[in-house]
Amino acid sequence: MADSLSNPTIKNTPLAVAPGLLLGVSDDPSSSTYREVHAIDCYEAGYTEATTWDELVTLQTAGTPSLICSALTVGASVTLDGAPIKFTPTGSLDLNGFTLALDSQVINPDNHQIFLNFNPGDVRGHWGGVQVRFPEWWGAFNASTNQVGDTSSSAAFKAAMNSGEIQPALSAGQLQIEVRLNGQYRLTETLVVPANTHLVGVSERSTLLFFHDTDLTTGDYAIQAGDQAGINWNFDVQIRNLFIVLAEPATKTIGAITAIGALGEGTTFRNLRIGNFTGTAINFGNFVCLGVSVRHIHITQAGNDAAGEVGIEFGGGTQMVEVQHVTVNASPGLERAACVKITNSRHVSLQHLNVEDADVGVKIISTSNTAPIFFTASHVSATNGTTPILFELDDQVIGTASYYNIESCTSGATGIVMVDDIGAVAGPGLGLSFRLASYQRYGATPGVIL
Amino acid sequence: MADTLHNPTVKGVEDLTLADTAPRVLMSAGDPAPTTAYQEVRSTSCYEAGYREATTWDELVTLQTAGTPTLVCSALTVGASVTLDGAPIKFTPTGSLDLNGFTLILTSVVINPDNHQIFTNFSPGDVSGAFGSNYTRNPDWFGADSGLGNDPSVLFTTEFATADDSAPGINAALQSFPIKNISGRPISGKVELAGTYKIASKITVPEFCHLEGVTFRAAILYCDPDAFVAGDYVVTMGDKVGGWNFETKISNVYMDLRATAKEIGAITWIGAKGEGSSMRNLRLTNFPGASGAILNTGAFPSLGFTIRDIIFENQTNPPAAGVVALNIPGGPQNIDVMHVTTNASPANRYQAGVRVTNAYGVSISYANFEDCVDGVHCLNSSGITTVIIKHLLASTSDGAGANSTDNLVHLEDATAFGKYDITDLVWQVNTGTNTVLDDGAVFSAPFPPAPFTPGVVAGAFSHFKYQRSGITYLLNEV
Repeated sequence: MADSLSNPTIKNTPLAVAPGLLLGVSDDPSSSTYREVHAIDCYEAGYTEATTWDELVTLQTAGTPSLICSALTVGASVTLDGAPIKFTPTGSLDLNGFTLALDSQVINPDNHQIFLNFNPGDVRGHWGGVQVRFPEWWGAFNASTNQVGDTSSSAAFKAAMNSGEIQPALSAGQLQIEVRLNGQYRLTETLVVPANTHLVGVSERSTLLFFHDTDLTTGDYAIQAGDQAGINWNFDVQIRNLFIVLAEPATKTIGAITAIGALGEGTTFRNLRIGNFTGTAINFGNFVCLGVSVRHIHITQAGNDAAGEVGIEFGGGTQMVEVQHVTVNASPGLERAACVKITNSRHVSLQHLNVEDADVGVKIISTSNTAPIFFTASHVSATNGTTPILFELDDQVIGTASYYNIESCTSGATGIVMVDDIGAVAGPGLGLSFRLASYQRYGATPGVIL
Repeated sequence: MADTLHNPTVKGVEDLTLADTAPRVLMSAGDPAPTTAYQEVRSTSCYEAGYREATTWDELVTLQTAGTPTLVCSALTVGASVTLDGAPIKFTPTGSLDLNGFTLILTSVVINPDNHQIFTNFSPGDVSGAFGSNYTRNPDWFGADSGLGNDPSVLFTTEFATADDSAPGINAALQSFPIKNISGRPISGKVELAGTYKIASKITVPEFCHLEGVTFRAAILYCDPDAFVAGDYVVTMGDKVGGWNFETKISNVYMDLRATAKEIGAITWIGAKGEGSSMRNLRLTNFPGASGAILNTGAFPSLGFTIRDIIFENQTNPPAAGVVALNIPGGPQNIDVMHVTTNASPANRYQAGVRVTNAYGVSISYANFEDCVDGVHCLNSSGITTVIIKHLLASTSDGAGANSTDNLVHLEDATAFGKYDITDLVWQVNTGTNTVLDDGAVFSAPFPPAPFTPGVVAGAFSHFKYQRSGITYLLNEV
């Protein structure tokens, strides 16, 4: 590496005397030696510039920290596992149909787009053990100046989401990465958050994912949690600190988050504000959930119960799911069928839920004699009197015990309604082992209070 | 703006004597021929690959307008109120912008690797914008000084000077977020604290903002009692007096007022607290409390509000009327209080560890009350109270005696409608008076009698479920 004279400026001054010696090596004009000065536009102490793809590979192979100041075009599918690669604001890599296994540390201080002409999964690796990814590095348009606008960031998000190292021997999908967001983005297709992937914003007011129903089809969801379908586990899918918004008015039924496969331990949805969605806001579907935490979720505006849309739905096989600090409301005239709907679940815990604008606050259905209900709730309350029934317990199975522990809940209308669809057999509560503590109802609306 | 010859490298020393050839100008043009013109090469300390230096405000605007990454190495003075929406602006350790009475909307990326003060001579709100979509802010950029160390005996050996006050910098950072209208909703972000700051004026955390430290031992606000008057609170959460304050948060902060007899509180709220608002991981030390409360959630309702992991300690100078550590008045709804501990200095006590008034759907759990008259004090004059109290401990590290906690729970309910579900109360040693003191207007005081007195021997505990529903006591288990 050349000895460096840092950053001279050129003073265009006519010479009034005989030419003298440059240069600032010794400041001695009488010196009979000189040093030849070459100008370069790309320098940082400790790094060596790569002006071509081949130079980059050579530097990386030699373990030399590499500086990229220009647009380089990848020439082969390789593994880069050398010293750090730093991009200046004008540096980038055109994938050019190749793939990169990128295990060197990547430094991009201004967060500009450094990968061009790529497909999702073209750039993978552990990036020197730094597992934080930014979709801006793939060209996500972060609307810093205007409204979110029309520029889609979906391709960039997809590439960032699929940039982790593949280690199928250890776990399904890629090894854990965190895709970090810091702004507002327009997405035009369903965003898939793979297993072992965290999608993390700064806060539910400053990090925004914006969707239009014109880009989606009725029944679609904005985000899919997990990428392992069937009976495969999706561990540690996390979605945190986001404002997920559907542009209004929406004419299609669009949900916010759905699940695929089985969601396992570590899966967390936390600090989310979900606005204007016309479909079920969070739908765990008919997939198994085990050890899932749902906290601080605020589902607001829109709503719809044309097809039974709800706030949060747990389908069959839900186990050991914790739901805390959830609020649900809807736009006027678009009340939901329920704020929370749980079917054939075991050990679902629900605390600090505030419901508004739904036919039922919490609806629990049992249709299986192999999946009895174990349900715990406390601090569930309905405000504004727009939810006529706080709990509806619909046990459709004879001879299978279901267990409910509901305490310290408050409703301005009907508190709990027991529904038994085996009508001819018995009245409400048949086959239930029911424990209810400290439930309070006030107001004059009749209903079943236990 | 200087034309820059970027970072020449020196290509070795050649053994070339002047006698061999005429002196040559060896420049980037690469022309070795003798010439009578030359370009003088000067070394500059302001260079980074990919950036161009701005030596004046006008040059900065020109570079930004052209979309050129801009390097600021000196103190520039802003010359007009503008929006800078160009390429990244990077500040070297000597670079800064004097606002000079103007306002800046900064939507360009701002890079300040050493987190030094880059904005000077401003009022809060003079600098705002997305900073290139960076919604986390460091208050040191606005002059807060986080480098004060963590030894209070050193910190307070000299008088506070106004210039030492980090509150203006923190407030400016909190007011630097863009207010954009996306789907009808403004947005905001997070101010991150790391280090020790002197605080000599009030801090306001606006709606949607989050004031977050690294941990509550590494983000310390040392508060100057001389800068406040009795009745003040150092931090006010929320900025909407009459409306909702959604998603307004403070977390991971250690606040210390030092030993003082002045009734100053740590944190209070204004307006109504909405979904997403929270206070977590706070250590509040040496606060005598304003209006009798160290941490006061304000007089307006709360809905979906979380309070967790709050430590109150070293209450060395309580006011004569006593002080409540955590006061939750105003008809709170859906409030979750977890992991609160109190520990006053010897010879002092809190009037209550947690006081709730007309609570509706409030849960208090996993709390350790040392040195309190009442651990949890429930006041009710409303018809719809619902309170769950679980997993309380009364510890007495000072030893048994008058300064330990009298009542783990005190129900002072003037109605016949209160609902209380109380379980899992534990005494570390037998020093208290009542596990549950129920002396509301409807019920004769004190209740309950013997079964609810503390455990009978040191180290024993009483574990029971106590429900009061309507006018009936239900004693499920003892």
